[in-house]
Amino acid sequence: MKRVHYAWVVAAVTFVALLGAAGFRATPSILIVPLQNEFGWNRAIISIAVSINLILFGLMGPFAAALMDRFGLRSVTVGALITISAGALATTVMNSPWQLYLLWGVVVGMGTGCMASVLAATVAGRWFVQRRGLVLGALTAAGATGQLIFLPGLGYLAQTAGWRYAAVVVAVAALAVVPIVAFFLRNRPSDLGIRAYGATEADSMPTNTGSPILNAFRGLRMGVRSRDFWLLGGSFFICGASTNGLIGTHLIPASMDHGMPEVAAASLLAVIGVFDVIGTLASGYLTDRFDSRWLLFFYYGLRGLSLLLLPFVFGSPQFALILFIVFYGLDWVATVPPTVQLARRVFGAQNFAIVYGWIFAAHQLGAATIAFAAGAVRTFFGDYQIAFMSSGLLCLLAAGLVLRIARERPGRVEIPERARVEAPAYS
Amino acid sequence: MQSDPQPDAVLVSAPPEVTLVFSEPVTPAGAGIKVYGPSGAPAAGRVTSTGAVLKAQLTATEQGTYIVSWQVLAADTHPSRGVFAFAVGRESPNPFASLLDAGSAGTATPLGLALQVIARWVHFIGFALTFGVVADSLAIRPHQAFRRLIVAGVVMLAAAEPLALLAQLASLSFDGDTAVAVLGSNFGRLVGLRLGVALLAWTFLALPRLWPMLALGALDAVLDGAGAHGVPGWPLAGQALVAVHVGAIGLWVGGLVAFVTAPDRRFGRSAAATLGVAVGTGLALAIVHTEAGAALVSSDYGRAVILKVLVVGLAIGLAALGRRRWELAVAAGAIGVAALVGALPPAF
Repeated sequence: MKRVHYAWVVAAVTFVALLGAAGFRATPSILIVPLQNEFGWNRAIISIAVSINLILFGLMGPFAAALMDRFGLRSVTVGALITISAGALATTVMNSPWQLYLLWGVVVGMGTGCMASVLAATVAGRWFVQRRGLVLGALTAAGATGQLIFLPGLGYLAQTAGWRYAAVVVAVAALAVVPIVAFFLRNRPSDLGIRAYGATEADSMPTNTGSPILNAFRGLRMGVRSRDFWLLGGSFFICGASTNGLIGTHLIPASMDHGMPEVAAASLLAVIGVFDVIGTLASGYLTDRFDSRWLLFFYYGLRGLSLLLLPFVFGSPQFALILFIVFYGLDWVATVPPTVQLARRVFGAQNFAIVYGWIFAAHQLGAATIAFAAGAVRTFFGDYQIAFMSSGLLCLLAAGLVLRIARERPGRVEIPERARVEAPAYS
Repeated sequence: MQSDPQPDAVLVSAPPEVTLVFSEPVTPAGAGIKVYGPSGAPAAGRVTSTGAVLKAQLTATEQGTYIVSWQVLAADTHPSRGVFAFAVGRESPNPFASLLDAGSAGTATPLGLALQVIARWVHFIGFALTFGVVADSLAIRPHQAFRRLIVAGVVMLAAAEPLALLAQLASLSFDGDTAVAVLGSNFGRLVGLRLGVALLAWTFLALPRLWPMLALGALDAVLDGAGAHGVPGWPLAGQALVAVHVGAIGLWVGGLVAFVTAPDRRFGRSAAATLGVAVGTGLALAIVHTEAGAALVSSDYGRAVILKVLVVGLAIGLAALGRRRWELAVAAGAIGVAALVGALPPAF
């Protein structure tokens, strides 16, 4: 029997690690009410902790990539898992708001930031030449799957046994992954004397040295000088704005405004989660076969059209709304594999992870901006139509941005029908 | 529009609500109905709208004259507003009486009308430059210089929408509530969709082929039709006619611009075809909206139609003489008159 390439072992371990860490992304929404009840903290205090958590989760990306370059995948992943477990365990004995800011906000935020999209991009980039898109899709879907698995169970646990049990469960889940990661996760194919999956030449990429923090900022400097960085970052900003920011935060209240019961409205998000997993895997598969710009053009274009048509859907038959939800779910983070692939093509194998970290930060910034802006629109004006339609227009803008990536001069773009076969990964 | 209480009625006791009945479904713009009591205090409560009926609850404790001010958007997005007075017990002075002089009910203000005409003109010229030039370069020949024209057209398509919003506000009132109500209405959806078309046009500029742009042009013409006056008794007929009319004018003017930029003999035949369709649909619209010509002289709408016929006739004459540059200038003027016709309420 032919032996399984070790790259698949690395991918599987990373999948499990991302799954284990996903519980932490699901937890804040569960903790809000119990923390309010126990400590009498108001929503603003808890929102501050959640905001710190989200900002650090987003900003950690480039630094995590630089750390992985310097100290290796395994040490950074193990360190991050231990950090978030410790942070979560410590919350069970906290008694004042600053401890919540420090633990949930800073410690868990930074820890989960190391376990985010950048880890998936780095693993897929180092270990795979063939099937890279598919692996990216699977690893990206791990986060979504993890939230789907953890959210209902943790919610139940927090309601029946108390929020401390929920916190302990996520901490233990993360700790349980540590030995697996420590034993099986390897830094690079060359550490085992093999080539990346599907690579024709051995990995000869030099390891980045020097301060990881400086390297992260060097990556930013390299990025901002490139037109493609702004195109990728701008489109990813819009991606975050139109998914997590708008629909993730506001679909439920908007549906309830239009007379849908809360349980039904909440299940809309679960449906999005299920189709998200399917869509992201499919997108990874497509990324291996077609030009990433075309894929992104269709993802953003169709998303924009569906947002523009959403105000016509509310108040009409439920069937149309369900169709919208299924479609939107398929498109949810499907943008990640092609975006990573484009970043790699534009910025090269050695530097793309750090630059992609910054692009991912733009994604989180977009989510935070629109979550706030759409809420403000709702609060002041009592109608979401403006928020939904302007987000739809932004997505159409993104569709135009992505077609203009990696184009030397203005004029007609020449996009091959099938993705060009990439140069061997580390030559 | 009918109201209860009727304008200038003197009632024995205060009615529980003010009811307005329109000839077609409406949505309230901003507050929808405001009522000022004899002391100037607001007297209207919650405003509800069902179809063509708009109601406001009334708490009228004072004796004297009440001023009712309303503003709505019709289903075809045309704004209208009006003011009337009624009295409880006896007539009295009212600090808001000056509102009564503000003009007749159901029409846009002069500034609103002017802005609406400008917004439509910018939109139609943008439509012609974008889709007309694209069609010409696909049907006759591509040319280097066309790209700039198309980009300018896309910019005009996008720029027309904020102008259209300003025009709505100028016809109603300049305040945040009204702006949000206008954007939250049918009109807001149309603005969103038309901006979407402009953005997609910009996106399609990066495609290797131009033909998807034509599909977009057809969509835009349909959207223009959706915002047009309906024909009573003929559902969608007015809208369909306007869509074809707008499309044909866009092809004619866009082709003219392309010809003036880079002359080509084959333009003559396509110009005759597109202009023919534009004139045919235009005449059909003129006939249904002026009661078969009866209101041609008696209404503003009819007089604008006469002007449009004269200007288009001049353009056809110049075309026959082969003076294409002059034809283009007159065509731009004809689009201005067409914008005016579209903005005025039809006689029927």
